Amino acid sequence: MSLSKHKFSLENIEKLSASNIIPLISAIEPDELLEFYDYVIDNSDEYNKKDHYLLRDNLRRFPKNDTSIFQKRLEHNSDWQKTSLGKVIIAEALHLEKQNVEAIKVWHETADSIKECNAYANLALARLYRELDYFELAYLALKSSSTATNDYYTLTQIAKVLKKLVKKSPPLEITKIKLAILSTSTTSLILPILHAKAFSNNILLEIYESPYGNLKQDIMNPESGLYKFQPEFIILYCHWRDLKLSILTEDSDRIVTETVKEWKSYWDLLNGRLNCQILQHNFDLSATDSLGYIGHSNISGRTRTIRRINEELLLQKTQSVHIVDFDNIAANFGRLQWDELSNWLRAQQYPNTNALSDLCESYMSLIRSVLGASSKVLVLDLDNTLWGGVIGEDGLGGIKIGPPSPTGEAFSAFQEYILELKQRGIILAVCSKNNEADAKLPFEKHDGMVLKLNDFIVFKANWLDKATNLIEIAKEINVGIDSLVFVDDNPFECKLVRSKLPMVKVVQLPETPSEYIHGLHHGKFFESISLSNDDINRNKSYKSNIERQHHLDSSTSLEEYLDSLKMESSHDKFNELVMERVTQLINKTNQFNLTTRRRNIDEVRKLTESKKWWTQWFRLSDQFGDNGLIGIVICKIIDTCWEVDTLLMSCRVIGRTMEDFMLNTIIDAAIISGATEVRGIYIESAKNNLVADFYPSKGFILDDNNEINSESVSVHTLNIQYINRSKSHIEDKGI
Amino acid sequence: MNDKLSTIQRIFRDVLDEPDLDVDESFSMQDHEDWDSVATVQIVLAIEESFGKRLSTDEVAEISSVADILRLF
Repeated sequence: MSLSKHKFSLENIEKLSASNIIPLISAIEPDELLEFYDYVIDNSDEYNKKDHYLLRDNLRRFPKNDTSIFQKRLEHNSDWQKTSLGKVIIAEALHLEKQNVEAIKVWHETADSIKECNAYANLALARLYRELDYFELAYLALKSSSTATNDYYTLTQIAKVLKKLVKKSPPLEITKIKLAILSTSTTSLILPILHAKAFSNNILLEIYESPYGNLKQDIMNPESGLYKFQPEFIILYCHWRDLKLSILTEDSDRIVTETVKEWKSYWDLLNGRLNCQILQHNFDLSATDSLGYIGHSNISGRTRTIRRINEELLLQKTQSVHIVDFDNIAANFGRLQWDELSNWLRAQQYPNTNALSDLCESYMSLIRSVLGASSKVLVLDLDNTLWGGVIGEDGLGGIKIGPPSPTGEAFSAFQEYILELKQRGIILAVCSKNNEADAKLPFEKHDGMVLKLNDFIVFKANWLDKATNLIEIAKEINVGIDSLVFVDDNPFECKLVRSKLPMVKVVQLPETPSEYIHGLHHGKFFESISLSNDDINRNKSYKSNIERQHHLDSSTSLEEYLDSLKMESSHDKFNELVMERVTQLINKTNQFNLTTRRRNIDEVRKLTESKKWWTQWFRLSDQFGDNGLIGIVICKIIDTCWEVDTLLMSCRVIGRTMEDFMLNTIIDAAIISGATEVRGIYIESAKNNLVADFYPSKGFILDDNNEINSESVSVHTLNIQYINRSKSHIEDKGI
Repeated sequence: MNDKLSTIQRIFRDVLDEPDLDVDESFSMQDHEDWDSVATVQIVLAIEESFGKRLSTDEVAEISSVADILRLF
């Protein structure tokens, strides 16, 4: 290499690593670039972003006259293919030369083989697919990219590609949400991250941003842009500086009460004027409280006062307010980096732009949980996921689980975390490529195992592909495939599931078992805004369901089976005791839900105070167990007609004639009140096709003349003076 | 094209998401619909990282063209 005229000799250069030489690239003449690339790519070891970007940016300086030598480097068996850096540069060059098919191929290889480059490669793929009008593939690649990164810059690029994609071909199965962000500081930098992270959660946002520093005015003024926008979710974005606390607060009790009172007045105004859910930040502790220990120990100290305010926010919050644990996100990110002063002083941007991804993930997990879209089932691989090693080859004595080895203990720690998830109502299942007897052996015989066989509702150990098994698992538990989180250490299996079942959340475990818990916890898949007894008992309930299934297999007829279950239902109008569970069901039931009308707890409560509405909850139990509160009916009384505003049922009791029991209860109550007609409305949604024919199948007649009828809405009536009831196999236990 | 300008061009291409964008000194906010105040901050953040120099709030507020950026860095 003739670098001598640049005062470098090859002899000296060889003492330096590739990363040290690459920054000299601007001193290289175009006709020597190829030699330079050959040298640094050949001598590079691990992939790193800086080298990648420098080599990428200089690709455009290659002489245009003779491209054939350059083209040779891009071929499949070239030396450049041998290093990570070389592979990425081949992809970049092909992309630049518009050899799109080849570029797509190499970008895919790059995404699979270089973890640090996964988000970048998938973003490149999304761009290429968009240019080629393969929109579905573009969305898929973009989603992989947005899930794989928390880098600020990459996420802003993802948001841009998303915007263009949506313009060209809007995505099909996605939840659209109107979100307002009201802040005391700059919010413009967080917007792209919100869009990107929402998208990775299958949500498409329309965002309203309050004018800079106008949080209060926007809330107070009923004519403000905020109210015109009619958001469904509002983020109240604030941080410790807004409290304007001095290091010692003389009357800290009063400060705590008044601060929370002020925020509460905003919640009340917003809830009075809008039907919305509020995500309210709590306050992060200052990274640099000058009072140090006293700040946290003295009742007047700033740190302590902030902690008390945070506690008071939780005490005062109402059902539609959700407190974002801003302080905990700061702690997890690292407080000193979080509270980076330069961007605050320059652009009133807080916190550090690199922390915005974590923050947005937290918003999305809360939004998902309000929408009832949190995951419910955790599906686990076995070998090298729950224990170290391969049971079929290493045998009971060879696998690593439990003490004394640190690796074995890392696996038991992971199992303990999973057991805790089970205790809070997450359903566990196994999906492993193994002989069933081998797979079960550690659960039965190994002392180090924390999880036992009966912790799992479904256990699939076979040699079918995992996508097929996951579909089976969802079917057996009777949940949607989108409620599954799949965890595996094997990149091949993860990729297969991602591409065949994009609605499944896939966690590819990190390389080191001690990092497994972080790997799973980070996605916040199971976030929930409230915990009901039914959540905690859910595992029991699903377990009984599987037993029922086996019982069904041994019964001769369905009728006989249903009678043998000895089902009983109790039911009554809504009251305070069931208000949370009722609201939870109204907001998360998708499949057996005739109208999918969502209501918050205050709206539900209002119904019970009016004579115009008839409400009823239903519980169902049988010889295998109590299913808990699983059905809801709301009827609007219009003279002698009862209009069924809401009729829904938890999917875990589908196929048990519960719907007939509920309908009969409505008819009985309507007759007693002197009504002559029940009106049933069906509103089509993306998920309730199951009940499209519900009313016609129960003898209701389509009301052709009703003006509410449309493509997605149909109105049916039933004259209840002369009717045949559908038989239910459930005994009425009354209240 | 000098070194600084080529880095600036790369950053503009990234931020404005236009891989073939050519920028010169006269390129200004009026020349591109996506170059708004958010883009300015993003551009400054990226350039600061490349050049290892930080700008003050007032200086960022002055920026409305590539010439301004070249003058400040």
